[in-house]
Amino acid sequence: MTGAKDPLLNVENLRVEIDFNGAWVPLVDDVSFSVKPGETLGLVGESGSGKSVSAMSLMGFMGRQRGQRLSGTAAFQGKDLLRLNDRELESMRGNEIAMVFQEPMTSLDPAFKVGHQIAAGIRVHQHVTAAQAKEMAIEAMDKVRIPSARVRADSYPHEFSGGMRQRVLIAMAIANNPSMLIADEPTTALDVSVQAQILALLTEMKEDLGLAMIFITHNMGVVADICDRLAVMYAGQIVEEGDVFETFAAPQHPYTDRLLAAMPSIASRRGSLEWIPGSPPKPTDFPAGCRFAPRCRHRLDSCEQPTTLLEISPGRSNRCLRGNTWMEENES
Amino acid sequence: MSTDKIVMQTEDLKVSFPVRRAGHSTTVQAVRGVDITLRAGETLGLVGESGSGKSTLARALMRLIPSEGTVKLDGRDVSGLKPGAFRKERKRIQMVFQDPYSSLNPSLTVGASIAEPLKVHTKLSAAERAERISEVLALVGLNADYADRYPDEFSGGQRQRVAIARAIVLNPEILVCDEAVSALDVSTQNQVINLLEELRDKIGLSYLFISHDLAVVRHISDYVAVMYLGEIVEEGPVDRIFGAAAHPYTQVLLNAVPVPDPVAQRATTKLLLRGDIPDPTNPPSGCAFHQRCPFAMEICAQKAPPKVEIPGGGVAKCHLHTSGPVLAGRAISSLTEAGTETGIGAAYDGTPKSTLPAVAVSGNLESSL
Amino acid sequence: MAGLAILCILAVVAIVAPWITPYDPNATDLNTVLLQPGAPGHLLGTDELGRDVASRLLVGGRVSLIAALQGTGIALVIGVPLGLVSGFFGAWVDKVIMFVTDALMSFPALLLAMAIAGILGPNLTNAMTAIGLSTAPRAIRLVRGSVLGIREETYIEAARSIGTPSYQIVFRHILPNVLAPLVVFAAILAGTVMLIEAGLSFIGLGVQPPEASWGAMLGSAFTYISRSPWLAVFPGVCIAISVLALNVLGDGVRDSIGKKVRR
Repeated sequence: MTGAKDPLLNVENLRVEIDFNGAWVPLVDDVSFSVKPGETLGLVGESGSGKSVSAMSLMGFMGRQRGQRLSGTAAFQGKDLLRLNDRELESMRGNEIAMVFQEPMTSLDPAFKVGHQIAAGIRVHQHVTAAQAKEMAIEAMDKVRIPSARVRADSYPHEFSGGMRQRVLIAMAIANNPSMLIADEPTTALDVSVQAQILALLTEMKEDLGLAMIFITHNMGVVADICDRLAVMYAGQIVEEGDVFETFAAPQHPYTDRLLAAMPSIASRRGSLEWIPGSPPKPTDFPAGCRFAPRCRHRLDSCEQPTTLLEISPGRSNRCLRGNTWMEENES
Repeated sequence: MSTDKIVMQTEDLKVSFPVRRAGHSTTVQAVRGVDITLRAGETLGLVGESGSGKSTLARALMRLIPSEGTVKLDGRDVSGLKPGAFRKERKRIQMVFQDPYSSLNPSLTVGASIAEPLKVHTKLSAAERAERISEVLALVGLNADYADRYPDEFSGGQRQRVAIARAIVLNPEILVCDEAVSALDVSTQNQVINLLEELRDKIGLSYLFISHDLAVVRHISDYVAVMYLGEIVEEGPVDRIFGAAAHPYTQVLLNAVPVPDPVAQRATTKLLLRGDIPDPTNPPSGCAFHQRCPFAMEICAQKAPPKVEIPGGGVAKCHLHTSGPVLAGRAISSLTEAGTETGIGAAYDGTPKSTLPAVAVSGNLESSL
Repeated sequence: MAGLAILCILAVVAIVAPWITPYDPNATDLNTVLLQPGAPGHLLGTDELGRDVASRLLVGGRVSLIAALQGTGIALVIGVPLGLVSGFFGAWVDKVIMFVTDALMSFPALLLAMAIAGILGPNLTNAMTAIGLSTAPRAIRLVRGSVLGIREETYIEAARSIGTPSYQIVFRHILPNVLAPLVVFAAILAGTVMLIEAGLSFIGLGVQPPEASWGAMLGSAFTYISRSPWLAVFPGVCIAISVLALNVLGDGVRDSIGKKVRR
């Protein structure tokens, strides 16, 4: 999947700011990443790290309203997503890039049958009759393994369980054959057994349909399950990016390292759980230098300098000013 | 840490709610006869998915909702006590809720919130209360002068510490934690868990720790009970449950937790359940899990499974151990080819792996690919 | 803030009114009837009985403001406890209270106030009681609605798990959190009450002559509207400014509460 193909989406220097009492405050800053066709990129971070804001700004949901501003580029199929006008955005959303949200309960309109809602999404983007759209909707529901799709298409959202509703949303997302799917915490609100079902379904979708995916999550286990690459976000920036296997085996940034160390394991019990002292900075007081430095156990005086995400080997980047020299201290 | 002294015990605890369905009223049995035992200094982990009745059970123990059956605190049956008489018993059992943002009254200072149990249950003077409040604030790792501040000045983790301070201010024996760390980011979650463990050792608390997060339960619990559709389907010492689950539902739950290690996670054969938790107003006959169980046999639809003692500790309610008997106390993993887990299961009781019984291939397992 | 400033000025004027009126507001002088504003000695002119309009406005404002306070107070005194009981305890108590409230709310408040004032007899206290009674259902609804929301908050459950008695839960946890929307409501209600008082006095069911209130002044000015329009304009403007100030104040409070919640 991760051959030498050209990227489908190439985001460079994305910066999203909001007006906070007259001053521009960056929510997301110096964010660059790319996604190749068929590849799944995990955007990982704690709440408030800017992972959702980054994705929302690509879809035009963030950064365009009054009191917000946006800079950088996001090249997608010859267009810059950040510079599309409203009409171009509407024709792109749900058609070339589709989105699946966290809350399967509130993302569907309770007043309409699900088949109708999927079909309506199809007719926005494709010139088909209502009957054809309905058939396509049933086909999409079939693809996401909703049992007896033809019958269930005439059910209302409240007649579905949480997991089935998430399937409906995925059906809606893939109905127009998008080349990319942005999934924002799609399994966070679900039970683990249902989460496993949805992850299996998404894995199948990306393999069968060659879908590229941006998978936003705070759950490192989910990243390990479904992502090819991951970008770890902290305080509005990507601190580390790379292949999932390599990054989990040897994290290059101290934040990634601490985050992984903090995950409780179901395989064994450790003495006490790891945690990171302090709390993430608010956008109004991001440090000028390394934003993780105040909480970092490997901090040096030189960490007060501004940081850049540097490529350290093909496909891997790190924002730590100390490169990987901090690792020796971890052992002692 | 745990001793043999039993601080809380329930026998055949039941909770039902009236609900209206399609115009006529019926009842939902949210908790269907639960027996749990909590020993002094022990953490009992209660796991289950939404709709399993775990939070309802907690609310019934706290008498926030009515229930039937017996609840004993320190060996004394308190289930028959009138609300007024039970109020005295509340000193022994306190609760920490999931959402730190709504569990503190925004119009009261932190100190006033923590003072409330003292005002209700003790005759301490204002000065004595203030002293006790600084004491518990210190215990939960907060600055004593935070007492004069309002909850909206604090982060989620700090608020949860305040909620814990309020719950321990009366020196209870039991703390019921209902998803107490689920709303927090992992680093904050871990700090709160470490705090709970510290408090257990310092002031000798026992916890009923309710969570959907199996990794957290694995870490904090001594003993674990697994709930499904209002029943405890399996319970046992934490290492036995996680190492050699004896109920298919437990096995599926453990298998479903994604491990933060891509190599291990992708090597695991995934056991995917079909369908959803059944409608609790109309629970299935026999074993409540039989429609979704990968190993269901004929008897599972007809008879409710008995409790079977499992070697290594605890019990499971599953016909696989008695009918046949296919398992006779061995781990479920000996039936599946769940890679590494088979090793653990087989090594656990030392018996060779049996072949899958014909009846077990009922097609309830959805292939992962 | 502008609303609050205007109200403060009105309140101060109302308090000191008896001492600053240039003339006895009820003293008639048939030699100086219907003087134009700006006439010597009478800044705002005189009415049909030669009474000084400025003096009557000052005293009338006092009556109108007291009436607004009284009416709003009665509405809250009835509405808050019933709303709390209805929302907190639910069950049949709620059903009974809600049924009566719904029945009362199906009449326009002014009509209801007219009917009650008609039965009790026309004077200001009765009119205010009538207004209080007829607007109480709105207060009940508002309080009940807030209580229903707050009752679902986890801190109520937490208080119950501590063993806090119900009455303490109501006073410590529910009432303080109902207060914010209640203040907004009271400000806007006071404006409404002032309008209803004006309406009742206008049709003769409120303040009785020769007593002055802005509504009563407006009522008696009606006869002379073509000859001496200022008689109607002055009390009308006063009513409009006060009601506007109350509404602006209500909105201001709502906004500042909103800010606090968002923070």
